Amino acid sequence: MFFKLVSRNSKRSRRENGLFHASLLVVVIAFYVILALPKQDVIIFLKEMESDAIQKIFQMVPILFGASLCILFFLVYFAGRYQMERRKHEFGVYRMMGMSRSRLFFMLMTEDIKSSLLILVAGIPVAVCISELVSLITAKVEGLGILGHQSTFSFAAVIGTAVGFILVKLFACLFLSGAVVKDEIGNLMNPQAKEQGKTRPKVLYVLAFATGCVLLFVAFYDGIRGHIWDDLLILARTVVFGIAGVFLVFYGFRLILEQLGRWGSRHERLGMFTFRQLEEMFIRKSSVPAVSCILILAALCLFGAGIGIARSYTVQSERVVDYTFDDDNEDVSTTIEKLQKSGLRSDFEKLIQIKTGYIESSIENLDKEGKPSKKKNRVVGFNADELVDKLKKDGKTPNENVFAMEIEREDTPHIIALSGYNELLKQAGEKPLALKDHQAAVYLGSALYSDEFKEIMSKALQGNIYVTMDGKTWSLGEKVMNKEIVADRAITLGFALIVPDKAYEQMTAGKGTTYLDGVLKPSKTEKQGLIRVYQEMNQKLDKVGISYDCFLQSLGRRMFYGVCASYITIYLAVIFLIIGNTVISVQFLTNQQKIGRRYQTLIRLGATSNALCRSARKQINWYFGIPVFLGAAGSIPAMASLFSLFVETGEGTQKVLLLSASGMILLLLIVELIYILEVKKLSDRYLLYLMVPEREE
Amino acid sequence: MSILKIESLCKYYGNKKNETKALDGISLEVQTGEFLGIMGSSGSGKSTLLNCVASVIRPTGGQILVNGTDIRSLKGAELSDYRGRQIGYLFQNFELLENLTGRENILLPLALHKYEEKKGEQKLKELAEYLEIQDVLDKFPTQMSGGQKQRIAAARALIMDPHLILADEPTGALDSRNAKALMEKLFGLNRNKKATIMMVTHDANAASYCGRILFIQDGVLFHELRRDFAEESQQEFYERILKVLAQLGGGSANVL
Repeated sequence: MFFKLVSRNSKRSRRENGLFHASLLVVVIAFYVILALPKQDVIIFLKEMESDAIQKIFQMVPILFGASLCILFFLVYFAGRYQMERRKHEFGVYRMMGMSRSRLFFMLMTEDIKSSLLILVAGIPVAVCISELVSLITAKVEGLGILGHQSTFSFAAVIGTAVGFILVKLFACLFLSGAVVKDEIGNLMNPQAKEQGKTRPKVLYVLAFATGCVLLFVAFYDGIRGHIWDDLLILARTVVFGIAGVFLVFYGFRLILEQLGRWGSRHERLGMFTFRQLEEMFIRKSSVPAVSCILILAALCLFGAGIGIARSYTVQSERVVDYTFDDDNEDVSTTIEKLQKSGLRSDFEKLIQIKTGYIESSIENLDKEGKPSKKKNRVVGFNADELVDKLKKDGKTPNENVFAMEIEREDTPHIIALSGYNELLKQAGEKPLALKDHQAAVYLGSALYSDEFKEIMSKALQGNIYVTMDGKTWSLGEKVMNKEIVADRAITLGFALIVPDKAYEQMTAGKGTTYLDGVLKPSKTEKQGLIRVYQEMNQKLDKVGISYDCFLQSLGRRMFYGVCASYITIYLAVIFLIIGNTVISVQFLTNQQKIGRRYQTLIRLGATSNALCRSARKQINWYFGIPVFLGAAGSIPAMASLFSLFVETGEGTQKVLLLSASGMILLLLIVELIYILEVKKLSDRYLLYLMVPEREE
Repeated sequence: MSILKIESLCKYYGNKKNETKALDGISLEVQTGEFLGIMGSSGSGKSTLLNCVASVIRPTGGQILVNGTDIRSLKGAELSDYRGRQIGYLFQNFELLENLTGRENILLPLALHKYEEKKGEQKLKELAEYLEIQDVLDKFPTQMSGGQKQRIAAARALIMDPHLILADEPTGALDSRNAKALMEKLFGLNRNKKATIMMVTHDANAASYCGRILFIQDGVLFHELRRDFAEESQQEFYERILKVLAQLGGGSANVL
């Protein structure tokens, strides 16, 4: 009998709180997907290449999971509290009928465990399918191919999801049931209406609203300026001001509502009622919409951060060479010989020798500790004062000034031999560079210096700029070179100078390094796909014993940051967005049922179902609209500052920012629309149910 | 002239095997300006009768004609209009919306039925003065006493000038002083403004303000008392009611 009651209650709870249970289902799916991350094809692929970084991500997963569990606890606790409030009378009746406190507690816990288990049973198979699908899609998108697909099913993830979820539900239920069980029967049977009219002096609301607006303005200003990352204090101030501002604005929101109420009451049948309902929800529980607003803001920021990170690491790097062979113990000719002997030479369309080294006299000018020596009559190794002065003179933005300082610090720049570099240009389909005697070209490695710096340098090089190298004056060409000279972007040059071969030999005194770059035949890469060709070639090269760097590492690193950023940020954003929305949805619907009597009174006073539904829909629009609007508005400066952290500014960035913002707002609108429509549907259904005459006595 | 005519009204609950007859063929008429009381023990069907007239419960059979219209034929907007304009309902538990002030509660039916605002304000002023609730108009229900709440509820029931006021145990949640004050106001409305009131009550004291009382038992009418205002004082009428109630305890066989 007892278990029948538990079963009936649990079923009723699922029916009455469908939206809440559906949200929990999505949370379970998200939990499983993040815990099964190590089993994803892309991650398995990256594990081989970036094992240290992947290991760090794996260490982060439990932290992320723990943080999401805490947020889930917040959702379950808040939503549960409203549901308990609504069922108080029912608990009072059980107690009156002689149900002991412990029995009631046991009943509530059993009900909760039963619904939790059902959610897990429904959620995990769906989660496994989604995880599998995500793995296949990312593998395909990243060009891994799906041939080597491995199942993502992870028993550890199932256990982790189930234990985490059940624990959170149990803890929340423990607190909630404990409070209900302790309550007096009288309080349970007749829950006292809270003081409605207790209003504080108007000046307090004005003050709260004004202070909130000022705090939000300061936070917005800091965010838009994009300097919040420069100083930890500014960052802390922005976050604290932002959060406090949201809470204060919601607290003082009564003022705006009053105006809206006055306006609305004149135009709408139930305008005053609608306004009072909103007032009650916003004023009595202003913290709930405030928290939802912050969660929505956080979700949007996470989407923004994800796009920012992904964008900064996934800017499609230009592929010129596929392999760089740079065995320190071997001559280049030995490597070529090995390639020919093993038959691998035929796989390469071209082998390019790139020579790079230091200006020996600039090295000699340094003492043992690397500081400029005080030797008299020394030859000036490198001096670019004119260029630095020009850069400083032109420098307006912080980025430009930092760049000028970086060039100023270049005491011993690399020099690159022209012939090899021209080969690279030819390979990339560009015109070779022509340099006269004592003329050099500035090289800025694209992996370290983005297009923005290339532009700054180009501007500074306009007119005749001279530098001193090896005691002689050199003129600098106006064009800035930036083709990567090796395959792996992590091993790259920042600032260097390209000089004619003869001068290169003289200045390096034969101590330079020669890299052998290999370009694979296009017929091979086009047929099989880049990643698979690389994987095969790597295996062959390993067998022959040739040491190499591969463009795959660049690809892998890009993929790593792209995948990790999108997985983690999207995961957190989804969790935040769901929880933010579910909290307000559940609060609205539970409150609506709790005050069902009011709607019944309105029906008796002659309110039509249409008028009631319209009033409720209006309440839903406002109740969702205000936190969502504030969250979305707040996300603009937050995103601007996140972008400033991850992506260099420039015309392109603004476009990306605009596109990302529009994309996120569109996504937010879709999510909100789903929630709002669902809540409206449930609200209408409840109100229409109230319209049906029933026996009361 | 009769404002309400009920013919063979039935309301059955449950299935055929296990049927409860809350009302079993009741017929009655209420004249304009009449103060009718309905009395009976718990479960006798008196509240069901009132709720059928209020269109809150759909009867199983019979007719309810209000001003000649069968309310069973009303649907949607017509039904809402009937509830708002033709009847005013006074609840035992006041049923004030606790998040609205007294004034907002009273004006709620006007907003619902697009009543002229100026006329409403005038009517509110008159009612507030008559019911002595001017001081609590801008207070929320939680800041009012039971008596004040019920008088606010009465003003809300009267604001639309309904043809018929239905009161379901209006003194049920009030102390004797507040109950007396409320009944005097309702009585005054009936005598001076010719308001038609149909009141369900347990309270013989409250019932003694009525002009006629119908007693219901097991879903059927079985007795009627009329007060002759010229001949009989309220105290005498009250004693007669008590006598019937005493006999009612012993079953219909004891009623004269």
